[in-house]
Amino acid sequence: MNKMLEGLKGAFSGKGFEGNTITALVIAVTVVLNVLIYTLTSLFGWYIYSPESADLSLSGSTDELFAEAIEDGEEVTVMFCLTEDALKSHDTGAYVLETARGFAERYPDFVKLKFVNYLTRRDEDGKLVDLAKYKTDMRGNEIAIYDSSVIFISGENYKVLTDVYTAAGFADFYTLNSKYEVEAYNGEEVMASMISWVLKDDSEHKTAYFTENHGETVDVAFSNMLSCAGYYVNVVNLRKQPVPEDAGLVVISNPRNDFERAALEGSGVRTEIERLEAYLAEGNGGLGGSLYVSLDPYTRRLPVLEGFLFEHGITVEGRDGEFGYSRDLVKDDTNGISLDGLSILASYAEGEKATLIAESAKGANSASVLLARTARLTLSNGAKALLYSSPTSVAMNSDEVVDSEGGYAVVAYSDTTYDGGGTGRIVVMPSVLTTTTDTLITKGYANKDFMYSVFEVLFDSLTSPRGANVVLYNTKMLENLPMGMSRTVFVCLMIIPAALAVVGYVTLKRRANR
Amino acid sequence: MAAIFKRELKGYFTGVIGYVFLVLYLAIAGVIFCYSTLFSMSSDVTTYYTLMLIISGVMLPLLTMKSFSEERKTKTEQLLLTAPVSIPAMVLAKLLAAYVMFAAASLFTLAYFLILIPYTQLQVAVLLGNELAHLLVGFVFIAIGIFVSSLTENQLSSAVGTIAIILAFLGIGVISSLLPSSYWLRYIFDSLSIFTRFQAFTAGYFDVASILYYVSVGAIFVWLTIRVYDRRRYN
Repeated sequence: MNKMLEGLKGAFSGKGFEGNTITALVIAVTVVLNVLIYTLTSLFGWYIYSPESADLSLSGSTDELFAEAIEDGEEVTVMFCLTEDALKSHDTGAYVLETARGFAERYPDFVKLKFVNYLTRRDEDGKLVDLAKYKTDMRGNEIAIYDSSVIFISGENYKVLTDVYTAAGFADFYTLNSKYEVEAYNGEEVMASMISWVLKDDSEHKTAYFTENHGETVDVAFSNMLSCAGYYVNVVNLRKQPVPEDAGLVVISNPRNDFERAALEGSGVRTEIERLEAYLAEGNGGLGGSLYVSLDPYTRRLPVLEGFLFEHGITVEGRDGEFGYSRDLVKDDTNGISLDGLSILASYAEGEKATLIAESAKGANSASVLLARTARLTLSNGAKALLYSSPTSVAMNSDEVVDSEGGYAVVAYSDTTYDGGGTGRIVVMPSVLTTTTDTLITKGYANKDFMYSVFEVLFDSLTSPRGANVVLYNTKMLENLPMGMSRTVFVCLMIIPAALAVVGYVTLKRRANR
Repeated sequence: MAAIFKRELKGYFTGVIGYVFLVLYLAIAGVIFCYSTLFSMSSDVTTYYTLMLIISGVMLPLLTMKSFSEERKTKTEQLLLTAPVSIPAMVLAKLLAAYVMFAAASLFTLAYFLILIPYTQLQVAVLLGNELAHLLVGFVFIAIGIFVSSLTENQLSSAVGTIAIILAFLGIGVISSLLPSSYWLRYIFDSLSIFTRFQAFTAGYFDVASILYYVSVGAIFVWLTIRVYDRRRYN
């Protein structure tokens, strides 16, 4: 230790100008200079931000959507409530402006842009614009208009997108996660959908109703998808009211609590299940209603809702165990893409509707559909599968393999024809994560295109905007990487140092023997 | 200088240190890479490089601990001091030899990220920024190690002393966050913290000031080592 300290003294001593003064001075100057440069860098931004800039070019996938309208000589105006200069410097609006410009350049006679100063109500030509008329939607509901609102107009039809989620503005053009953080910019898809929206008469747009009061959770990205598919989005409390007549779709999204049990006979009270049944029989103007059910396999059993699905031929498999009822989870250690094997890639089923859905989805994205933490379904009474798990998958329950046949139905639908002539349709997806933001924004999996195809083929949705470019803010997800491959890579990477250790041992041993 | 450099580099492989360093470094890097990316389904390079920064802080003293200590212990230091080579050249040759070992291992593990290309849109600029920062931090750590090694003939003391200084440099950032309310003191601590500077690169910023910082801190320790040997030769 003393020798170490003695050596340390050497660094600061010497003769004359080379002595401790100059050494201390060099260190002091270096410290001061570093603090100074650090400050100047912060003040003047002397750094390069390396992530690649966003590609906002249009994919061209919307040509098909607008072909008929362009041929008919229709015109759509995209009206911003900010001046063009203000939009250019707007944090979130600049991207939206660039996308709108892209549309106006691609379809010059079809899409026109208009900029109105929100405060003065005057457009770029100085003409007064009546923004007040857009403060109610075409169904008479009030809408708040802000400087970040975007109004799509075609003839008498209009649609207003107003950011009600964030203070940043233009949130409708972005995909937000459950914490309202921006995950992606999908302006092309949203703008194409809204242009399509105003090309249709308002009466053609149905409403998708989310049920409430059962602890349902809804991902914003999924809700926005429904808007892009041409649905108004609303909620319905089935305890208080039947499904409204304008319902094009009822969505039961990951309920945590069960639906009402049967009411006392003769009480005249209609239960939630009876209201759903009535909607399936008589909804959509007597043609039959559409119901989409997603279930979280980790929630407790929902005997009433699951009993209702069972009556329609779809059983969510599970068993009663020591700790109560639990559902069978589909696990695939070979081809699964997460360490626990619970994230799996599903393959399309065969059959009339399933094939149509597969063709429609594959036309836009040939990737597989990702299902994470999904239960397995068994089907009866003519219910059909839409997606299957791989043959290498097994069914697990409480850490035990309860079935190892593989190829389980993981998304299914059933059609029920009622006496009145209507055909009610139910689609069941026993997995929460399939329609979460992460899986909907990426092109690495075909989840979004699969969902749009389901809306289009099974629910007759109005619009199906596919193949649009998405700018991802968080592109860190590895896609389509089977865990088997990950394990192989891990072994290979461990072989390298092991081989080096052997080489070192042999070399040193030989040298020692010499 | 070239002769000393070659002798040093060869020295790593005539003993166990070179092999032990490479085997441990590649094994740990492989495990961290797999767990931070493949098994987490993420192409995020930040976790990997942040952990490797700490691992390098502990492992690089392995390479530098005997640089000068061994010469003093085996009395070959006098040969070096009387050799027809300047002290700066001698110090730089030893530093360069250790750095080549580290850089080779680090650049080799950079290739691991090629595995991710088929499965993600890899942010190449961020990856290269992180690698550059890692190489620069490695230079600082090796310079510290060489300096501490010049102060003692005990290899263990050299390694422990180096790790202590490295941890102190890494800990400056932690200390700054514990400071109660002194903005300026916190600011100065942050500007001198290896870890805070490193974080800019992990966030995707190619920060010129941080490059200057690493080079200058490394250069100071090289300068101090030269001063130690200048005095020893003079004595």
